[in-house]
Amino acid sequence: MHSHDFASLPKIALLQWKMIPDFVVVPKTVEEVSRLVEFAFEAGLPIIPRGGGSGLVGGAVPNRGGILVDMRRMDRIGAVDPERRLLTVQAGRAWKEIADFAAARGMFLPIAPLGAPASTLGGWFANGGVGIGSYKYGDARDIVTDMQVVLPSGEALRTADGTVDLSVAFGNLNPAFFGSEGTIGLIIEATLQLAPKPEALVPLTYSFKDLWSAREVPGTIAGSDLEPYNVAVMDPVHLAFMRTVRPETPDPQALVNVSLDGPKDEVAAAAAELDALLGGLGGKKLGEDVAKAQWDGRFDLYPARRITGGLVLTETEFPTPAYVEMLRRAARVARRLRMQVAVNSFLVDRNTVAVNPYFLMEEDSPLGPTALAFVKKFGDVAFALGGHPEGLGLFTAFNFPKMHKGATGIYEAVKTQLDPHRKVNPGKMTEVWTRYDLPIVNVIPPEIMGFGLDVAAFLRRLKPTSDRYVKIPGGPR
Amino acid sequence: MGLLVDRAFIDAATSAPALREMIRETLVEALFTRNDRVLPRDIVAVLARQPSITVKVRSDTDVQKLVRVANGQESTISLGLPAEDYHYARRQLSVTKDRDIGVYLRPAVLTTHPWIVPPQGGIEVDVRELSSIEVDGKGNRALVGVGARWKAVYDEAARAGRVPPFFPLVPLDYAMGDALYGDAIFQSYSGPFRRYLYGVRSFASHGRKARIGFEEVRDHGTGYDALGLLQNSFSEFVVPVAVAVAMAPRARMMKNWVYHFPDAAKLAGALAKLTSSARPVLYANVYDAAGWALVHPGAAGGPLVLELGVAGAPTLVAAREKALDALLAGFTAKSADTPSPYDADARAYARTSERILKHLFAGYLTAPAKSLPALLGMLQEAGVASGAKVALFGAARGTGTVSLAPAFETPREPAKFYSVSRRLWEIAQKLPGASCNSRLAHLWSQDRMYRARLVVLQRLKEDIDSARVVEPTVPL
Repeated sequence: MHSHDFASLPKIALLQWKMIPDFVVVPKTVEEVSRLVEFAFEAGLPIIPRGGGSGLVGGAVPNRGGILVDMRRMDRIGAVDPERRLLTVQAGRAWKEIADFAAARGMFLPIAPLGAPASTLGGWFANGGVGIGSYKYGDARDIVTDMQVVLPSGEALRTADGTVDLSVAFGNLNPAFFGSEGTIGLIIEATLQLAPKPEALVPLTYSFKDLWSAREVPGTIAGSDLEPYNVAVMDPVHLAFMRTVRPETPDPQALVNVSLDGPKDEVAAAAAELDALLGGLGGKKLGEDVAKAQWDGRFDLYPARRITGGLVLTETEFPTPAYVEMLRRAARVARRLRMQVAVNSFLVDRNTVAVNPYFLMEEDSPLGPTALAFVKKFGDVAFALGGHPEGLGLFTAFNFPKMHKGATGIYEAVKTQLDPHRKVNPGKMTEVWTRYDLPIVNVIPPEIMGFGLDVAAFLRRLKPTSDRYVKIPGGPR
Repeated sequence: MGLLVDRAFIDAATSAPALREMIRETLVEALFTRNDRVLPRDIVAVLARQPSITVKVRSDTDVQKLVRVANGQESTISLGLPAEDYHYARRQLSVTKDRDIGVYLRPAVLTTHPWIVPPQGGIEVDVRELSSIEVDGKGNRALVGVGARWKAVYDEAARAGRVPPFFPLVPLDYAMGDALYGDAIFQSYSGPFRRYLYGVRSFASHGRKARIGFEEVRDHGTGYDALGLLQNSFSEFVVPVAVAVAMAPRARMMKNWVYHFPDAAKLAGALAKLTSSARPVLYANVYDAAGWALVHPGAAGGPLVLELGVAGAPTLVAAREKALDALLAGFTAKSADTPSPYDADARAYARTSERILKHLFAGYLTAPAKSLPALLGMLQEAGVASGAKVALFGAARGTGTVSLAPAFETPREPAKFYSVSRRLWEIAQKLPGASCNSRLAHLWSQDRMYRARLVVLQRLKEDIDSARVVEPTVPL
């Protein structure tokens, strides 16, 4: 259970990494975490923090065994300040529960991860903190006033002064922990700045024949003066996958799910504007029941894993103007690798589309794992079009030098200075350790890892048949 | 902006344990006011150093060359200076060979106070000509040189049908770089500046280009948030040359509505309702009568003024106006025809900036909006105590806080800076949920956690600036 996250990996990966922890510890207090970190240092064992295990890149999975710290029992909701809309929550609490707790007290958690029922506060922050609601409300880092963390030295530290407006604060270490993937310390708790509960939150769904017909949607919405709460473009392949396990899913078609929040009068006026905008692009507005079902299912997008037992989701960010070209290239990569890929997208802000393609994988078939080549090839598309893959962790850390080029030293300095002895979640993100603590074979150079996936892509192209798990009306894309 | 350098210097100067508490405050005051009769002779000698040369740069390449000269990778010959300047530069820099040759950026507009520890020899870089502005015609972003003025970005964006979604807290003629290494506060009603910052082009001390963040997209899932971590003190880690920032499409309708309030209690009540309502606005500027008169000379104003920027589709804006009028009940007058201060032409905007800059700013106070009456009362007392009239500029955020930049009508003298800073700091300590940000405030903070965080930042600086080129820490 603790030896993998949401990503499917072939068994052969165990040759490379010792993904099964030596110990799993479930602390309940910050003192226990501090003592644990000190003990791990004395025992010479790596320590790996873990939340809900909903990550995609092996950030919460051991690579050389060690002590895995399951934070889910540290899930207390502490101080609540309804007047200032502040809420203090421990790292192990799942986001869906935090949202429900806030809503019951007349407050609104403005952003939440796509995996909110399982994803925990600490886990999401460590993975960057972008999700539903980011288009209007920004990132998780914009709503955190203060955190408590345990550093690799075992010392508990408050990362900011909770009373400070962070836009002007000096000496604020919150940012170091966003996107840190648990490599510089363990997040213990955070104080969140919540939003006023909107009078209305209305989901709307528009149908397009296929993804290509909806290609102008992200750019058009981003270029308008509307500010929806959330915008998602769902691939017909995704609906076909969903329909296999959830028969009530609508027929395969491209769906554009937009939600609006705010005062009732403004939501109604914005909905009318949106109808005109998307109608002009050929979108057909679907009924409230479909929109509500899409909204209710926003945290449950990947039940298709049951079809083959393996599902690989990769996350990337593209410039909004490059969305159309991204669709072209995604289709080309999928065609060359003989794969069926669902390319779902979410607008993160006016310039950024989070593109989260996923595919099914047969882990046990001989050539099944070669499908992982898509992750590398699609990441290369992201770089080529001015974007980047999301997440580094263990499996995609080979992208790190390509991402930051001349600035890699700045990111490495954060790790080096906060964890000089490489004790907390070592051998990830800025470097990739193997399970072997021996010279030469102890690390995998990024080029070698990337080359391995390029070889997988080559093998994939030799495959005589394509992987097709569902039929899409209108033939293959 | 020398925050780390100042802190390290003062901590070193007060490190004798027995004397620490006794001399620290005296030393801070003496350092700040440059009271050489109080300061030890070796400290006076350090503070008396001046930058060896000031170089006006015109391109990124110029900056790179300077960094490489400072770190010893290149000789001064690569600067490509005319013979006279070349020999001058060589002579000046060679004088400093016994210590680090630092590279220093000076903010275009510094409201509060220059750093305590001045540039120690080395090269002061004048970045005013790094002022290119490229507004992306397809997307909603811009790549801007650190020397470009915010107002020029606003005007250029308007020509491209865009608007920067962040505004200066005080309507001063800031350069964009001032938000990275000065005390400019840019923000919107709905977010801090970091939300709109995509990337920073810079040179690291080893002379290589270092693009921190990205230029076309956000930086989620790409490792530590280095942009957020270095913000406010960028020039102590790298030498920034350009920033990539988000723009927004210019809405079909943009309005600037001005509400006049008779007293702080009514304004605080209105702000509490506004920030609890989820009604979107671009900016919510707060002024007292004196601040209002400085920004809008000749326009009528009440004792307190709330200026709202509203944008959107015409139908939405119409609905919003009625709702806002109802929410802000308590105002005595409203004006819908006062132009936005940002739409003034560039020269008028610069003149307003000059008028405001004659005042003394000692820092910013942020507090919950409901504390506004108490906050204003304390600021008036501070004004009386310092024998100066106070003009107020500020802005509310959707978080329910209001940030104020009090401007004191008094000469910008170090002694005044010190005493007023101290008063602002004390006000923040008295008000629950309030904070003070000033050049001095962080020197007074002795909180254990704050000190631990600064140690981390100091270690980071030493690692990132391993060549000791970027505002190097000064050994005592």
